[in-house]
Amino acid sequence: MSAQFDFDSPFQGPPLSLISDAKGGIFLFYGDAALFGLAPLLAGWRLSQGERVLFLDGDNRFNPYPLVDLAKEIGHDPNTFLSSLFVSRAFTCHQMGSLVLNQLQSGITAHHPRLVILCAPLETFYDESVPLIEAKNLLLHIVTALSQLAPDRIFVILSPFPKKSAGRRTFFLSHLKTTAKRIFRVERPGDASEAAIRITEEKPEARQWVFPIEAPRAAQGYR
Amino acid sequence: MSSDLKYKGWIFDLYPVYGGMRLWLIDAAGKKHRLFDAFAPSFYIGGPAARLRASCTFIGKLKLPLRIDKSEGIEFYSGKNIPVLRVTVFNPLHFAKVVQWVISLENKKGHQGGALALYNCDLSLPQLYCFTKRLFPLAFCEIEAESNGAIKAIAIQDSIWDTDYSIPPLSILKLRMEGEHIRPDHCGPRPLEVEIEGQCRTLEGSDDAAIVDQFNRILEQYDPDLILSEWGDPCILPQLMQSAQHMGRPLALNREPNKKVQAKKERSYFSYGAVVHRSAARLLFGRWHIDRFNSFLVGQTALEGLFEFARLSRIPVQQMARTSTGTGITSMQMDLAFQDGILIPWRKREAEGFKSASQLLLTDKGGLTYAPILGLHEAIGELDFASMYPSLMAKYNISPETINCTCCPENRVPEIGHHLCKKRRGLVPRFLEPFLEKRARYKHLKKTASDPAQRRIYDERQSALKWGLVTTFGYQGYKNARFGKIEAHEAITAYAREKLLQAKEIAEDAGFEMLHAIVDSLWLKQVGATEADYEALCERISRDCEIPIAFEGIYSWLLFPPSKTNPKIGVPNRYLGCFQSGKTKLRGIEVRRGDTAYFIKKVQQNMIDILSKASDAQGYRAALPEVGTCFEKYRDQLRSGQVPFFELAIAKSLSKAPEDYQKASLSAIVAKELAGRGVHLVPGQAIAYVITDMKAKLPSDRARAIGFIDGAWAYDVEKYESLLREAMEVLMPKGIHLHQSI
Repeated sequence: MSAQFDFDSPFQGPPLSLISDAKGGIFLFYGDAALFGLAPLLAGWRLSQGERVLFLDGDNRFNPYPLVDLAKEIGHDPNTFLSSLFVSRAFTCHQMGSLVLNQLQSGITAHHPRLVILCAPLETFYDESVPLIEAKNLLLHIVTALSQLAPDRIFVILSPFPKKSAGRRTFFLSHLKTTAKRIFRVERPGDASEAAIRITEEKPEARQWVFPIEAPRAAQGYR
Repeated sequence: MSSDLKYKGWIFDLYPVYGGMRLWLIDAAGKKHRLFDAFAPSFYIGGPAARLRASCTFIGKLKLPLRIDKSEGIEFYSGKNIPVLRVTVFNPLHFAKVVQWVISLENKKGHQGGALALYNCDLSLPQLYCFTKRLFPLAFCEIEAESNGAIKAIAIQDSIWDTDYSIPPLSILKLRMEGEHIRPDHCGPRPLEVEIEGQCRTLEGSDDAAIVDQFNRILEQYDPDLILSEWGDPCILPQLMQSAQHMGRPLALNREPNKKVQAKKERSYFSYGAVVHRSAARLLFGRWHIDRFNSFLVGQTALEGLFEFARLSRIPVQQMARTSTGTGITSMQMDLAFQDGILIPWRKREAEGFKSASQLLLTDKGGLTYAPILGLHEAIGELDFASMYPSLMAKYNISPETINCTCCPENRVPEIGHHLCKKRRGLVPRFLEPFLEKRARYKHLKKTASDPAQRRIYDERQSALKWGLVTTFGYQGYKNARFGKIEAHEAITAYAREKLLQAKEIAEDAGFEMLHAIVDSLWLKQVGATEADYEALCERISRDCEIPIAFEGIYSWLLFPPSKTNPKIGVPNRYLGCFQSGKTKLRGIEVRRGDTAYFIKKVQQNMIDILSKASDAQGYRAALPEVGTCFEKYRDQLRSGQVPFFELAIAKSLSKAPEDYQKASLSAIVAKELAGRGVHLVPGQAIAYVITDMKAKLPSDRARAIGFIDGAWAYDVEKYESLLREAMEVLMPKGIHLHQSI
């Protein structure tokens, strides 16, 4: 099934309609660079409700400017958005491990977010200087910890396709898939206009949506 | 009667052997002594008592000679003593195995990850040995040993903080391929060239076996301490060893009997946004092999800089040659931690604390940079904060364990809201104090030395320390830095911005006009200002800013050229100037760039030499016609087709593997040419090529690898002429064009 969307509000239609009814759970969006266009939209969805959002960044991807654009677009104070989104960057898999296993709970206690975004968490696990078994086990510990936290809040994982240099570690993505409640593949469709995003649901149902990237503006350039 | 022997000399090489460490000593006569020191290294395990008990049982299963006992150590971030298990391994050759065994416990199914914390477990054994015994490579010492070489006592008569130390009399064998400095596998076959005791000889023979035999005879005859090669790591040594193995010929590269040459794999990694390649390495035992093209330190600071860093870092010379200055300074910090009883954490785990996006925008900034006022200026003074970032770290106690401490919230960092501890002196500032002081002493010695050779030595050593200081700051933000933290990095740049602004205001208050400023340097102007005026200004800024600023000199002329893309603005780090002393300072122009052909550099340098005779802006303008004549002379040489290919070679680093290039850039064309010839290329590796026909329809005709170009090819005169023209035009002040000056 495929649907075309052309919507007025940035928070109508997918991807938000795919997760907005959930009380909690892990939602995995994986795909090409189009994936990162979803981040400000997801964050803005909760920030516009006066909530706080946690953003765990595994690839130094956080870019505040699309979020500022979105706030202006929907008539919110950009400063409020920026002061309500909390970022922590991890540059190694051990830091990502420490962030999820040790720091995340205190971040949740302090800010009570309904939404936690994990951006490119696997990038830190592709580092060949960390033995494969060690990286794999650390990832499994992280996945277990997320599963334990997930019933009460929404965890969105944005995970780009594994790089060529990931080599044997490309299977790490399957660990995230195993734990996710719903899985979506996100791509710029090659056959359509370049300014569109295609989201294909892989779990639990097989469905597909295509929507133009021009609306909302904030879904563009997320580095 | 005692049969003990006493030796005096320098520690030359160190590596683990069964039950201890092999220590090679070279005495004043150049004689080598092979000694042995029993050594049982220890590492530590922390964590919940139940996990520690389980790990004891688990380690016991290894059935290796070791001891486990209760101990305690200081946890780096909290500064508090914590209980740990100490695991002492009686044979250093088992050390890595025992550590890996404990790590495997962490990886066991059902185990909660991160419960155990390992300390002091990933230091190299020579480092651990030096930390424990307070030794260092090239230390002068007296050793008492038994007749079998077993060491009984070592008395060091040297200090890492000495500036006038001596090094052992080393016999050096230089090894390279004949001809230009082209990487051997990027060109056709060339004979091997060996130089020792002032004699240079070419190794020739009917086959590889004959070459191996000749080389082995030289090794036996001269027994060199150091094989100083060009491309020995990736090409020459592997090729010699392979030939020796295939032909069944002996090749005594090591002095240590029954030990294989240590091979380390090549690797590519990202550093400051660029892909860097580190060649494979071949390390020897009891003898050094240093590839001068595979050593950052040797490339930048010659052997003297390498020796200085090896002494300070306590990392053996061969390893130090192939590692980064960052690893060197980390080793120095680890040594300090080790002496203090601080447990050295395995793997950096501390992630950045949560900060709001608005806080991130505020804190995640670099140094302050102003746009230069374009054009040619005269009588400009330059002031530089001396080692600004390290000085700030030392002055304000900026260190991973002092930033955002729990006890001193009032001690705020300007602008960004972090705070620093006032109660506990940080590890990084403590490491920096003597380091900064030593560099200052070298700079003073360099200024006062009358012997040019000694002056050069001091300069190379201070230059090595400068690289260490540069890295100290960068490592605060580096993902793998053992003692680094992103918040400390942010605090340093915040202070730096504050200090530069403060200095600007002081200068303007004193009547100076600021023409340009970058991070830690200011270019100022005041009509009639003398050196004494600038010195007085420095004194005031140093006093008010609380970190030293130095007067670099007054420029006779200084040019800030426009940007190539937007001629209305300048580029912060692109300028050229000549001090009144006659010394030039050049930044960002062709002569300083690594990817400029030698020919272009040579001509631009000639032009700058002409301009450097000018004593003011008027003299500069008057010299421009001569610059034009210089241009014409070399342009004609280009047009005649007489410039050798080697002078026109352009070196580039590959950003990706040859097959991953999509567009036909010159690098891609040449990378594919080399790959087609069977050359193994990986990202970060350098290639060199000559542009043959930039407009050729067939991409492979546009450029050729320098190592394979022959007389059938010609260089692209038009392209090289345009590069030459660009190199001249950058010297032209605003408003002056080529046709006016030639």
